[in-house]
Parts: sequence; structure tokens; C-alpha cells
Amino acid sequence: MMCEDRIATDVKKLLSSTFKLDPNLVNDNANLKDDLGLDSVDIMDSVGLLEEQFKIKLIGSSDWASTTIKTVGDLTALIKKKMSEKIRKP
Amino acid sequence: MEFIGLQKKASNKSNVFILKHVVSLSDTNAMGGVVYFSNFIKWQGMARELIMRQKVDYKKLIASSLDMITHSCSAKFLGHLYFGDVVRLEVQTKKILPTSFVMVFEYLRDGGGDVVAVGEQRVTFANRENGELCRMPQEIFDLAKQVELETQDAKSVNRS
Repeated sequence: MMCEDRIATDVKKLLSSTFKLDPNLVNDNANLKDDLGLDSVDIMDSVGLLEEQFKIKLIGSSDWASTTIKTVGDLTALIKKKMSEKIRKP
Repeated sequence: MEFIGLQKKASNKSNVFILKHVVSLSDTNAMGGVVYFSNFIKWQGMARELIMRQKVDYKKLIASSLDMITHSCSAKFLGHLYFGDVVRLEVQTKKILPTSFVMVFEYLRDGGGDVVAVGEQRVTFANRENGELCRMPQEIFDLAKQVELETQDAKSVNRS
């Protein structure tokens, strides 16, 4: 099972490299829009990239509809949840 | 405007879509008879449509529930164009991500070869029924990848 710290690190690395952000700013509490300057299209692109990286389905899933993603931590938490669901499924 | 085809761009060895447009009187303005700035944005739209119509089933796309949306666009002006000039648009892409990509435009005076303007636009996709952003269709992704600009800055994805 992927270590949860590794998931958090990978999410931050993806955000900082894709959008050329200062890695020091990309912490769990950073608001994606207000602190990192991402807009809704950037966030959707991030989610799409994370789907591909972790081989999970987020967009269109029931979790997606019911989750509000505002911070880096919110995004990480959603990935962790989907990853543990993926592991639990036979 | 006329779609010429896909060629190799000499300056960066990547593929590029080429289009040509003959500047008409209605493209020019009263201030020196030069092409009015907003036409450069209009030409981006025309070029995008012509490229799509060559390579994508555009009618099917329009009839589907998918909307292609212009997120942002820009142009930077380096020279003038005049009535009768032929402008050659060279179109490439960069930053091809799951739900958006950027089109890069270079406007050259055909024959002279001087670059009169450069421009970009970012395009994304949404479901028309609920307005939610969504992944770009595979055929558009494949189209965008055909003319991807190969630079260190051009972060893109590869779909299997």
C-alpha cells in the first residue's frame, strides 16, 4: 500500500511542477485559489493528472460530487480515500 | 482564411498547422490603414475552427453535450499588416493537460517572413447540460498532440 506521506508528497510535487509554483507555498493548508492562484480549470487539470498518476477515478464519482476541494490538504485527503478504497476492493 | 496543412516548423522542428488569410479592407482601420488589433483575436478563432473542421467531426461535436470554451486569449503585436497582405498563421500547442490545452499562434507576413504578432489561447471543455468542466475528447487530444511544441516549459500529459 502506498504510504500516505508519499501521497501527500506526490500531490504537492505535481501541483508545483505543473503550475510552476514555489514548493514552499504548496502546503496542506494552502488554498488552491487564494494562496496558489489556481482557477477552476487548473484545479480540474490537477485532478485529471492525479487520476492518471494514481490510476483512480475522481471526476464523476460519487465522492467528487459530495466533496469540496479548497486546499491542497482537501485534494490529498480525497486521493488517500480513493486509494484506500481501491486497496480494499477484492 | 484557408487551411493549408501540417508542416514542419523550421525554427523548432515541431509540426505546425499552417493557415493563410488575405487581409481585406474590412480588416483595416482608419488609423493608418493597418489591421485593427481585434482581428488578430478573430483570426485565432477562425484558425481554431478551420483546424478542428479538418481533423475532428465538428458537427458531431456541436451536436454532442460537450462545449469547447475559450478560457483566455492574448496577442502581442510586433508589426503592421495592410490591405492585401497575406498573413500566414502558424499554430502549435503546449501545456496539453487532461481538461485544457494552450494554442500558440505566430502571425507572419507571407513572402516577407517577418513575425507581425504572436498570440495564445487556452481552451477547456464543459458538459453543456450541467456546466461542469470535463476531460477533453480523445480526438481533440490527439489533434493537439500532433502540433505540440517541444520545449522544457511545455508540460503535457500522455494518454495511453
